[in-house]
Amino acid sequence: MSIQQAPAPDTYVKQESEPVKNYLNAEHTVASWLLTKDHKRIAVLYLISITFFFIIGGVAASLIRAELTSPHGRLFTNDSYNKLFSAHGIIMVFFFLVPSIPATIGNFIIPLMIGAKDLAFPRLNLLSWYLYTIAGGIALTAMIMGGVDTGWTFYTPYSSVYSNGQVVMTLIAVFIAGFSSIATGINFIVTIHKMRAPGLTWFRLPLFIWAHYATSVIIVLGTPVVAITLALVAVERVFPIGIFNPAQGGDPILFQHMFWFYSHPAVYIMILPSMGIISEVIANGSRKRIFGYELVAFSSLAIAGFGFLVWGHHMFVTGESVYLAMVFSLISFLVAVPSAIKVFNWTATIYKGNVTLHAPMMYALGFIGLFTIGGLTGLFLASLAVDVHLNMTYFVVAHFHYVMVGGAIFGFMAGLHFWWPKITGRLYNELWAKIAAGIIFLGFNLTFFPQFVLGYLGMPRRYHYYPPEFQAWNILSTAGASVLGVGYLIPAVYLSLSLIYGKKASANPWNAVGLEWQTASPPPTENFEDIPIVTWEAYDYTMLPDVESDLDYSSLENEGSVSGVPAGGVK
Amino acid sequence: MSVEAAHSLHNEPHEHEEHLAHQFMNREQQDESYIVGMWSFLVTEILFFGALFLCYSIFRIQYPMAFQEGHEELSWVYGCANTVILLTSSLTMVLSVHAAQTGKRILSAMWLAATSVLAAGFLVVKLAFEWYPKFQHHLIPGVNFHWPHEQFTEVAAGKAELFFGLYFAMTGLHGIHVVIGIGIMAVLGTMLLLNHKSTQYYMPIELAGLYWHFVDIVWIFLFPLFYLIGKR
Amino acid sequence: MSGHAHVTPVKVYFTVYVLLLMLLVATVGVYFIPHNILNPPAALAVAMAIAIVKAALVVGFFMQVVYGSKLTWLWAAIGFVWLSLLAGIMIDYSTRHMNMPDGSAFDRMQSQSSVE
Repeated sequence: MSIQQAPAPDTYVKQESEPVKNYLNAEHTVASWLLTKDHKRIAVLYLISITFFFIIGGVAASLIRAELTSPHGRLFTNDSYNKLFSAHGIIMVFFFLVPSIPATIGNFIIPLMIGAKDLAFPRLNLLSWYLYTIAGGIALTAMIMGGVDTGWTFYTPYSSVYSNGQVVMTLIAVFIAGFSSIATGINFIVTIHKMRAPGLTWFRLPLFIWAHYATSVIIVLGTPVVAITLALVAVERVFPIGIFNPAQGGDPILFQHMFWFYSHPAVYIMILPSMGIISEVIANGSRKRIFGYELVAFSSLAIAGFGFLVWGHHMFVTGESVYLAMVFSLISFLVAVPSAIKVFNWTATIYKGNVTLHAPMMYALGFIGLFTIGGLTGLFLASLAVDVHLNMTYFVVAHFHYVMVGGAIFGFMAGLHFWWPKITGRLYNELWAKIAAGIIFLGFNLTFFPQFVLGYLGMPRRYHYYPPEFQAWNILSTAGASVLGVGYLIPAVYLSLSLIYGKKASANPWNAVGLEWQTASPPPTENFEDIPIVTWEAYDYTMLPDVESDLDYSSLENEGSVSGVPAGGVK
Repeated sequence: MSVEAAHSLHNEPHEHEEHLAHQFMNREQQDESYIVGMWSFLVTEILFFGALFLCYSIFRIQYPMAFQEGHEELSWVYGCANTVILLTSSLTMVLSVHAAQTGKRILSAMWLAATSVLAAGFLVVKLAFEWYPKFQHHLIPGVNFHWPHEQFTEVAAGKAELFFGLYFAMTGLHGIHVVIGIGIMAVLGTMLLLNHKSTQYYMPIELAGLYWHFVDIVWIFLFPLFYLIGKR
Repeated sequence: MSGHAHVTPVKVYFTVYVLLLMLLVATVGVYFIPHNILNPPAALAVAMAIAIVKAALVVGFFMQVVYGSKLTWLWAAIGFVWLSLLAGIMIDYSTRHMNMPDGSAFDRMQSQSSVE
């Protein structure tokens, strides 16, 4: 194989934009997709699957919001409502949020970013998608056969002894989905350790890679614990082995410990990849190196590490010692430090940058604001006394939706738009993208901000009956959900249309640095014609020629850069 | 990897190109990727079993008498015999890897066969001499569980059921890993005998070995924790 | 079929195997020491120490980690380190009684286990 010096940076922008063969048109048979070992095709398969599950979870969410417009629960019986919010939680957490960014954008971009031909274990990657699909199929079957009413947390002994739903089947589905994400995690760890292009040292890596490395470490260290815990619940429904059953001397609190030992870090599985995307987008949108690169890189690892030490903050009201609770509270507050490092460094990057408000950048700015609200309200919940009041109320629901939707999904949308030209080779409609970003931001806040108020006023989560004085806030929230729903439909339309009508994208439509922009859009099956040798730092925007003049994208417009980017950007 | 790796690329001889997957640059990279990949899988396995060991510890501290009395229903002789069997199978496994590394294909297959025979022996002792009598004595949780000592001591039957629940969960999960191990060794042994392309290179056998030694390590802890709780 | 692998001499494997068998004899031997000579917690500690040495021998020599790269060391170690974090769950069980100023919850638990 030939190793050649990468093209000099000044050849970045003008590259051949019409590859003869790329990963999309290399083969056309169904088998070439379903048996593919190409990380790019697997990423596309994953993208289709998680979109499917996002729609199902979203429909469940709409039904929940519709039900809550009335304080008397007019649409569903108690039992159906329990099953509805359980379905929403299980689908969204295990089948959308956990695999969302790593398995789609991460899967596609990581090898491109580090100059590798593929992930280290392509067959394992395909296996991961099949496990995910099988798990999703089982979960849907369980739902059709009656579903579960345990909530996504499966708390014992209700789930292990009393619940009458399809608990075992759902647990099996989540168990298999866990192995699917373990497969992805192992693949990323080895790929990032061993497959980097010559010269691409750890401190030359894009922060997206650091974030995915931290995510993969959490997946590998956390998922097996929840897998065995859920397996024990399933076993306990069949044989009374009693580990979680107080009637036999077992301990239901032990389930919560082991569940949150994974499920708290799992929150970081969802948010860290998103933070990686935000770093990429902010650097490109400000045309600057991320301020305090090393700190942002290490803060990902710090979040991953601290994440494993705070599970007890979900259990302040389970009778744990106040002294232990104080320790958990303190460490939970410490997680805010690396998170704040990221937020401050992103804002410092934007400061005096050459800001271009393209759609990914709009999502990124939205992320910063919403994640800050989500993170800070997390500190309320990490405070011992306040948590006693807010625990199990809508305040918790609003808090984690600000992190999960405002954080993870905004990051996902930013990444999807940012790399859409790379993935599909087409440009989407930038104007509609910006309108959609604005609508999603408004709709999101309208949906979830009232829930902070509701929770503070004392409305408990998981109930569909509530005092009539809460109705106005609930209707506001439902109205916001409708706006949010429209906001999600618009990208579905213009992104689909771009596949047919979109302009052909050049190799580097954003005028960005990073190895993934050096290869064609869409990339060839082998990713790079020659393996690049890296001699530069990440986000070195100074090496792009004539940055100032290129901000006027008019010269690139005809070659297929993103349309609608405001000339000159916003300073 | 750093700049040095780039230099080594040029020095890399290409005679092993046929065992090199397309995504790797050279054999060193491929070998270490496989080893690290296998180890990170074993990390998940360590935590998988580790959570069960945690349950065990918590309940053993809370109910020492139930564990003491429960363990008297187990025979340390069978446990010890199974430990010897598994330790020996680990030895035959490393000998198989050694044979594969030094190019002795048939010998490697023979040692793999020996390992799977020992693994099958472990399962025979486990199922025929240990689990089956437990079934006869009504010590399987949920299947007409009956704790004979209840009238003599104050150990509640539920706590004894908890002990046997842990016993069956942990040895059962370990047993499943033994069965998977036998499957892997059977496939690899057959491929070696047929001189299949994948096993002309020692790495698959090395990885199977890593897995098998992990199964051995789990048993090294299970044996004293279940069979040697303490004489009265 | 030769590779870049470190080929450990067969003699090492047999030595480790004999050591493992000797440690097995030792752990069974400890089991038979009466409790008035070695109390149960001490016996458990000895048994666990022996098991850890046995596991270390298997990891080090049979799994070739002593000859492995730093990266292999890292990933071989991290699982066991994280296991100790998981064991942190036990802190809850040893501190719950502290919620009661007089330790009453703890006493209740103690009396339960003495009743069993």
